[in-house]
Amino acid sequence: MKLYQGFTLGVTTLAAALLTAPAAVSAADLGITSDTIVRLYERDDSGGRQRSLLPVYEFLRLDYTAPKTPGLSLHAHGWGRLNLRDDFGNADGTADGELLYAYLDYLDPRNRDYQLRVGRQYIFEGLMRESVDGVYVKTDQVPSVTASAYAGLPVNLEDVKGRGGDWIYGARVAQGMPGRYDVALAYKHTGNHGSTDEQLLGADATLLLPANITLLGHATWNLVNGGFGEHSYELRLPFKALELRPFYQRYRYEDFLNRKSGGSAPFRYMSQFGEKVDIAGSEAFWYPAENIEFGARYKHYEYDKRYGSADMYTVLAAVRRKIFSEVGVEFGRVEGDIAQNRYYLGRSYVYWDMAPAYVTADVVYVNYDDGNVWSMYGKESAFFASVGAGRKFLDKALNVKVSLDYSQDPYFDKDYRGTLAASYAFGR
Amino acid sequence: MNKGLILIFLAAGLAVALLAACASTPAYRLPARHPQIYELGDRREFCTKCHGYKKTPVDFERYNHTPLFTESHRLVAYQDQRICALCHEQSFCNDCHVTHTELKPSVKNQTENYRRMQHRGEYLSRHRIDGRLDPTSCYRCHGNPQSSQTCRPCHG
Repeated sequence: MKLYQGFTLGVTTLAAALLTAPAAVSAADLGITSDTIVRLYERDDSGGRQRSLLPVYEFLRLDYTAPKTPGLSLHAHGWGRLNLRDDFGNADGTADGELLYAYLDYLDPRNRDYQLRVGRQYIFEGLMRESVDGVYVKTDQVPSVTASAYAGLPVNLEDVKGRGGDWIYGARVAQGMPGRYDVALAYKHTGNHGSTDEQLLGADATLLLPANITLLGHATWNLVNGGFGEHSYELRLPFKALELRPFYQRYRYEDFLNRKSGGSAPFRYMSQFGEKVDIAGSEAFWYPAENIEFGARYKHYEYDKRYGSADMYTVLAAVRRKIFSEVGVEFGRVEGDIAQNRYYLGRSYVYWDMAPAYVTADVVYVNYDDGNVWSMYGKESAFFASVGAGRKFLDKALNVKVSLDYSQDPYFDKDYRGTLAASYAFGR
Repeated sequence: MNKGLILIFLAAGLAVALLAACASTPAYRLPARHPQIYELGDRREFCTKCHGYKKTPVDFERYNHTPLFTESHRLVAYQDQRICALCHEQSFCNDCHVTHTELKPSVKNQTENYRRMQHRGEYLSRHRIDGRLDPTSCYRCHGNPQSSQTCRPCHG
C-alpha cells in the first residue's frame, strides 16, 4: 500500500478509535508506540554518481482498548519512509510505506472461549504465516479442542494497480490433553486471478514421552501437486542443565516452494528441478549457571540432484550480568561441497547496561574459502563493526539511540553508516 | 488426493477429537497478557525460571527461549501463537515476518544486539552461499511476491 494510503487509513483508524472513546482517554486504554529512525550513508551507483542518502523511517503502532466494551480492542501498525536527500536510485521512489496490520479484536471477556479479529492481520497458525485482509476466529468452547478459521484477501498478492489476489481461507483443528499430547490438522487455500495458487493440508503434533522427552512434528501435503512438501521432526532430550535437540527435516522443493505467480520469483525456478533435500542434525544447550549459556548446532544436508552434501556448524556462548548486560561470542562454519560454498564466521558483541544509558558493540567477520570468483568480486572476507549508545528518558518511555556502522566486504570497500533512532511509548 | 477424501479425513479427525473432548475435563484458559515483569518481552527468557517444569496447564519448557530460538521457534509458534502473544505484540514478529519492509531486523534494531537476528552484518555476500545450500530457510520470510521485493532488484 502506498504511503499516502497507509497514512490516510492510519489517521482514519486513529480518529475512529478516538471518536468512539470517552473524552478523556486514559493511558491504560490507549497505547501508541513510535519508532523514528534516521539513517545516513552514501552509495555509488553504476553510472558513477555518488548518492548521499538520508532516509527517515517512522514505525507507528496503536493499541486501543475500548473501556465500555470489555474484550474489544483495536490494533494497528505501519511504517513510512521519506528520503530527505537523494533517492535510492531504484524504483522505490522518494517515499514509501506499508500498513502492516489494522484490526479489531474481540476476546470473550468472561471465559475467553472465543476470539474474533476483523481487518488486516498476520496469522501464524498451522500452515499460515501471512497477512490477510479479512476475518479470523478461534474457539475453545469444546473442551480440549481448539478450532480456528480465517478468510479474506491475501495481502502479499496485492499488485501495484490494485488488489490482484483472490481469496485465501483455511482452518486448523487441534485436540490435546495438557501434559500428554497435542495433535492438529490444518488446511489452506489461496487463489490468485481466479486459479488455485496454493492448496495445502498440514498436520502438527507434540507428544510428551517418559523422562520428560518431547517429540514435535510438522508435515505439509501439497494438494495441487500431490506430494509432501515438508517433514520436520524434533526430539527434546533434557538432562538437567544440558539439553539435546536432534532433528530431521525433508523438503521436496516442487511441493514446498510455490511455483505459481503467487510465489517469489527467486524460488519459482527451483521447484522445477525436482530437488529434494534431507537435513539432519542436532542442537545442544548447556546452562552451567543462570547467567551463562552455551549453544551449538550441527546441520547436515543431503541433496537429491544438485549438490553434494553440506554441513553447517555453529557454537556460541553468552554471559549476562545483572539481567540486562550481556557479552557473547559465536563461531560458525559452512562447509558446502565446493570451495565456493564454504566460509567461516566469527562474531562477538557486548551490550552494557548503565541505566538509564547503555553502550553496544558488535563485530562480525566472515572469511570465504574461495573469494576469487565473480560472485565475490575477488574478495575473500567481509568485516562488519558497529558501536552504539543510548539513553532512556521519561521513566523509560523514551529511548534515544545512535549507532555507527562500518563494513568492508565484497560489495563495499569502506562503507560507513550512521543511525539515529528514537522510540517513544505513550501509555507505558 | 481428492477433495472428498480430504473431507472424510477431516471429518473423522473431528469426530475423534469430539469424542476425546467429551471425556476430558474443562480446559485452562490463557490470560490475555502476561503480567508485566521488568523487561519481559524485550529480553529472552526461560518460562521455567518462574513456572517450573510442570506440564500443565501449559508445557512451559516448550517455550523456553534458547540461544537459537529465533531459528527454531516455528514448530511451537504454529501450534499456539496465543502463547507468543502473551509477551509479544504482533509488531515484534513483523521485524522479520512482514509483507513489505526496507530495513532488515538487525538494522531496525541496531543496538539490540543481544537479540539473535537474521542477516546481521554484511549478508549480501553470505546469502549467495546460504541461499544455494538452504533456500527453504529463506522462503519462510521471502517466499511471496510482496516480501520478495528485497530480492527483486537482482533476482527479478
